[in-house]
Amino acid sequence: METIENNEKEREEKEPKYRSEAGIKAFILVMTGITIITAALTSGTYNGYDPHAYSVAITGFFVIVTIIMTAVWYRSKYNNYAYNPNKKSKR
Amino acid sequence: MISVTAWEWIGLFIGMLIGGLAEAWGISNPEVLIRLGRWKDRLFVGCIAIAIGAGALALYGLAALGVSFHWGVKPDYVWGVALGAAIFGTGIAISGYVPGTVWMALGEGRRDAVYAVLGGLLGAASWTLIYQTSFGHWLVTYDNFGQIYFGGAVDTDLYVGFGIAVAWAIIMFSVAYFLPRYKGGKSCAYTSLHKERGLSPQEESKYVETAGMLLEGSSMPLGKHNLPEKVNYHWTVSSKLFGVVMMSVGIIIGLTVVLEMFLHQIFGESTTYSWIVAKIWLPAGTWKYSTLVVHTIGWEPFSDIGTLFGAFLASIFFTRRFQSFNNVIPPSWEKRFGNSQIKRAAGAFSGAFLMLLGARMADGCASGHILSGDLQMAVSSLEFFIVVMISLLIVAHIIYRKVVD
Repeated sequence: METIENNEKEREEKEPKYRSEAGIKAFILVMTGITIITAALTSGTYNGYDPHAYSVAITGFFVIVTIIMTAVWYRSKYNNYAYNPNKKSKR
Repeated sequence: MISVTAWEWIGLFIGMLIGGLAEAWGISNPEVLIRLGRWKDRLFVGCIAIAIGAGALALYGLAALGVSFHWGVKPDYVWGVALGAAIFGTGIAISGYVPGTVWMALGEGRRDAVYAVLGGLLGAASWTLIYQTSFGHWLVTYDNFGQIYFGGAVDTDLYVGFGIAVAWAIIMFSVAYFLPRYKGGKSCAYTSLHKERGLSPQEESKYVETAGMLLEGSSMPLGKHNLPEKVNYHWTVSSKLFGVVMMSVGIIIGLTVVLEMFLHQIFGESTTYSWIVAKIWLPAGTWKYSTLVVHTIGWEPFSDIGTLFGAFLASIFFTRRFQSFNNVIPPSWEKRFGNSQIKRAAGAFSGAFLMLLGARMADGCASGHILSGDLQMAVSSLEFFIVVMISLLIVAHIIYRKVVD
């Protein structure tokens, strides 16, 4: 387990300081609810084999918007941070 | 006879469950499948074998007891399935993706998944065009033995089917037990049953390297002493927890696929690409394959959106591997082709093109054939899996043979 613990410590040294993410997480949870409700309302009780295209499109649209907004938020919050396991730690 | 046909949007939840678990497992990372092709990391085979074994027992056991399923077994047109599988395996070796993991990778915020989606759509469109020709017709009709499983025609002789499922499950569990994840190591099934066994220093360094590879490019700090750190460094690495977690993931995925067959249809991921093509480019009515797709697809577009969204949620709340579309190139690819973004985009696009062309030609992909189909003991799916593995190993060897880890 020593290798694992050493690796954890090395990674912690490379990372930026953890900041509050409550806002974006609340946004994601709200969007999750909106996505599910949208799918339920637009598709309804239909259980056949040719799905309504508009229902799939608007459900997918909300998911894509959520992902893009989240990506923009994290990029700006952590200043374009990207973890690189091969990079030497700051110390 | 107990029979249910669920509403289509319920497919969202099935997709979210499978997408979330698979993201935690790490298969959304293309390096995982490239390493499978290089025969360096066989976790995929072990996990899928557990899912197939557990699922086959549940499926045929329940069917023999009178539960009705939406079988959707893939027809075995021998030459079309074989050619499709060979092209599919080639596509995986190049891109590191299968149709479902493209959606998961997009949910995880992987940049090359964007190019893979576009390549996949073009590949699916190509099959819609080929299907219209005499060659396409020949591929799906010549030597077509229909929907058959190891016990005969689909949904017949279910007691015999259960007996075969027991033998099939023993074979699958044996594969999972005896096939080590890394060379010289032990499988996750073995590890979970031998809790006293510790990891050798070589194994430990392999696991740590894998954890680093899965986290590479993450746009969010993992933090310390929290759930994501446990997931990345202990549940997926420690010998005490890793085996149990991976066994559980395999079993849950297998049972979820059975649940999906009970509720509506088999678990598939590639038909959605053809459905999108039918809706935006090659319409049903004019194009025979588009007509076939729109009348048989069912809730798959919803389950695919669920797969994408489930992987996204897992990467934010569970593993913290969300990449925010950072530039990340799979290590094996980088060692072979360098760190050019354009080369990687071309690889993801062209690999996904071949992969989707092959999947639609064979009427299924890693989800429809390898997971759902082999769980159903479909003859076509066993053929598909064997040819895909041969093709993947050969092409990956040709491409990455000079790569030194």
